[in-house]
Amino acid sequence: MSEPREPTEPDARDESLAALLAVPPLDDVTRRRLVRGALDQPMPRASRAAAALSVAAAVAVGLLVGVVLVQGNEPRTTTTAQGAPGGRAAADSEALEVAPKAAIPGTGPITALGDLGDVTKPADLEVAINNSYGLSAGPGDQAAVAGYPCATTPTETLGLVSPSAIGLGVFRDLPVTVFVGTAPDGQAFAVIVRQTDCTVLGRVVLPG
Amino acid sequence: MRPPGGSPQGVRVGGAANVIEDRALARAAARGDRRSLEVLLERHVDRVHAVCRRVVGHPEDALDATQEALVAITRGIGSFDGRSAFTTWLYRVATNAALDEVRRRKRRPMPVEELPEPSSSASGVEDRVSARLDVDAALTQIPEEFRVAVVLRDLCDLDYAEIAEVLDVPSGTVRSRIARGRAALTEILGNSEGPIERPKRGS
Repeated sequence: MSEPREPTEPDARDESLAALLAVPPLDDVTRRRLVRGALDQPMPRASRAAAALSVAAAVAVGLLVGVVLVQGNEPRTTTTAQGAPGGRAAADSEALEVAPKAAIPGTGPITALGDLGDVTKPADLEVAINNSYGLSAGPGDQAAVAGYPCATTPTETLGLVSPSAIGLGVFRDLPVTVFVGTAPDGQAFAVIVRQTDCTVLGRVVLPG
Repeated sequence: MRPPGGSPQGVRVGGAANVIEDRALARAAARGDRRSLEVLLERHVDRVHAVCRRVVGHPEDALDATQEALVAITRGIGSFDGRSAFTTWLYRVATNAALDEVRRRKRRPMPVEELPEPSSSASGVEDRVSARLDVDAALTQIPEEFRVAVVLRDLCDLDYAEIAEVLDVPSGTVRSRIARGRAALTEILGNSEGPIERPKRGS
């Protein structure tokens, strides 16, 4: 048995009341003043949460890399007992060769800059890099650096001789990794790399 | 020039495209994209103002409330999680800003103002003009809870479920508040100033 339907008419909009309540649109000057007034406020650093997550993820990946390294340094008897002769041991020795390159291949210590926010505009990127350098503890946590997406992008692809810092950001709504370093001609660059496929989206010249 | 999606007189602007676009803009704004926030604010400022104007009841104070609401949106856009429609969140912010302004206004010492004489009838075209003048006075005479519910339903054209979400009350409560609010307004605009029952808690 179906329940009796409630009449819908009482729920309908009261058009005569709607006409009485109608408010004329704001004039353009007032509208602009109100919007400007709101935009003058500092925007939320919602990206802080994302930054915290990114850093946490980077640390987690870094720890994982660390665990792999530690396991790789353990006596071979453990690994050979677990796998087929030669199989796991060979993989381990391969891992040991690859692991030191897990950060950026062919480079020295890298400074983790954390979340740089929206880096679509070169000026914003430059400010964010400068600010993050100020907040950074320096090139201390290479495990965290290794956890950054696309951290293993070859220096040739980046066009940098020696990346000195790495950060995260958003470029035209795309998550990107930002590398800071020096080109062969000595010019400092920030290189923006798309995280989904580690391709270079752009390079921004940084003042000396 | 009016921005796309602007809402003359607080009339609802629907459409899935707008909803999706609002969400995308809000997400970009939450990530710090100022231009997306600007587009959102320009698109919805009339809607925010309409709510504030009718809930606050005073033109200048309504502009203050509108500014507060837009500032709250700017500061709080990062907390918009996209689970509800952006407009639902927007109306919640606008309603809260308007009610805050009403409370601030009550605390301020104000000169005694003479309210306009209520019209004898709101049925004819001419009477409608004076009724429009009276509507602010009438709205201030009904309890806030009724006023907000009627404004969200009859001005903003939100349905009962949406209003329930904005006000965080059950749909039955919304239905009750709208019915009683409309009845009270009709009574006042019809020049019968009987006592208006305050809503019971949860009703």
